[in-house]
Amino acid sequence: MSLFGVHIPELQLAEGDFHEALTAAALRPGETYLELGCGHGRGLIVAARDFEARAVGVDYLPDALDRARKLAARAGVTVELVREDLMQHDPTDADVVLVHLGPAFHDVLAPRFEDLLTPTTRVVACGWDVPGWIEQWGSYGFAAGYVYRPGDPRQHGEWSAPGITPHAAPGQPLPELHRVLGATPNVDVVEFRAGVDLREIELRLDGPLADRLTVRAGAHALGRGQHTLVEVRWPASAAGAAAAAAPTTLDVWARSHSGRFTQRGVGLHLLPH
Amino acid sequence: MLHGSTPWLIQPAALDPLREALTPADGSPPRLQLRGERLPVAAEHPSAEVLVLGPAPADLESLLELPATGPPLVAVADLRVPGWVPEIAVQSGPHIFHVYRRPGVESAVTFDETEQLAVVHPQYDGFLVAHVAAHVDVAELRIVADGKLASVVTAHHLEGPLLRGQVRAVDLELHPGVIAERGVTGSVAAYDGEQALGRALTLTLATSAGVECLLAGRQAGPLPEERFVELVGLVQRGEIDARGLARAINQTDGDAPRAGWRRWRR
Repeated sequence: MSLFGVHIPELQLAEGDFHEALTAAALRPGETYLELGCGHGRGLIVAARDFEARAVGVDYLPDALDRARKLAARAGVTVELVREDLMQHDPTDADVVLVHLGPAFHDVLAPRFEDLLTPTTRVVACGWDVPGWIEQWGSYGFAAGYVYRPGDPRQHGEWSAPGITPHAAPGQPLPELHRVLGATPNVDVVEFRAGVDLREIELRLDGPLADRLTVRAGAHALGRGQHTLVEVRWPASAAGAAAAAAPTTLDVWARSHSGRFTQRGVGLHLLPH
Repeated sequence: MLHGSTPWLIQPAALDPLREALTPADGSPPRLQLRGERLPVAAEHPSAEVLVLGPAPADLESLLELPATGPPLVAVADLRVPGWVPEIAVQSGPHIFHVYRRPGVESAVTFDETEQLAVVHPQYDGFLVAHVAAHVDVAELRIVADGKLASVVTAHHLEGPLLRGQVRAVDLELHPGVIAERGVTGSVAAYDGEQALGRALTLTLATSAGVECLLAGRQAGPLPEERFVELVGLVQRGEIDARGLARAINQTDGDAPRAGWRRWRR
């Protein structure tokens, strides 16, 4: 296998590690499992045999692919093997992508995954995390690695401040920021962390207080893993507080590597009392 | 976060615990330079040792774009400076001051480990992983193995700028076949162009055909720090060979697989 123009030694994972990784990624029968740098194909066999998935392996070394072909035949499973540069392979039809390449290589592949993968595709990074990426809701790692959804813009940012749950899983309420209207001071400062590189950051409000709240971010662009401070200035008077008791949502919109301008991360509910 | 439970104005008495925490055992209290509309007074001392920010949201930009020069310590009330790592936090009534040492060139980046020791098999290439965190914006990060490691270690990482608060993973490709039996010690350093940044990672590599790989870190273990320093000294003086080193690490580690040491693969 070659990246940066150098040979990478083969990294070994046991079958049990693969099983745990694919369980964490919730690989389902009929889904496509893609392993970049598949080596001898141990992960492909686990995916096809134990998870009944379509297993696709990519590697650059013919010897490794030959060995993978033989091992798959011996295991009685069908796998698809591709000899290609990992940076050139199109991962768009994968449901689960597994990489176990070393963190610097994960770093290099990250922008490509962010732009090419669908929102539902899970990426399993084994051995090392991907610096700055935000983990899939509720996964929080497993013994052999980490699970991400880099194609899902909701995983591209998270709020942090005392009392705020960093990110909300689908179906769960959004994180909340509470404020008594009319109190002094009438401002809050929260942090927003970018899970991918973001440009042209724009804050948008939606809800009953959208016209009375003022928000601004401390930065207009963020690198993956960077934080910025966001100011929320509430109405100075409590007038209309009862009518505004429903939450107003603060969303971050931004442009990514590929130029897409979409919402990033889950929204933040601003709740007046 | 600033919110209703934190008083808006920081009273003068709230600065006393901060002064006390920053006063050397045998010295006088540090001179403070006070800035921000939440502080009761503004006080500018040209020779101040601590810049105290009582930031209001209107000061967000000043917090995010702190000037490169000024007092060496920066204490920020109730907010944190993104990308900086506080040295201490001082609680003062309802307020909390995060105290930072202003990063200069000498502390612009930090490695996740200060010193590492690795016993590797002489016949296999492999790699070791380091992470570098930036505390200032770095235009073009370069990681270079210096000294005796120059012919043994090659660093690979995503190229380009590393911004304040970002972490970059570095794969250190090892070619242990050229290492002398009793090991070599060198540094892995970060540069912005030609400018050296921060404290380098000191790496000692020794080879033994009896092991696949064993790692120890000064901060992350598994050896206690004193034992770690002692062993590195023994290796550097040639008083212990790699086999003995491996045995010492193994005795401490108990051969138990530990999640923190999954960083090496062959």
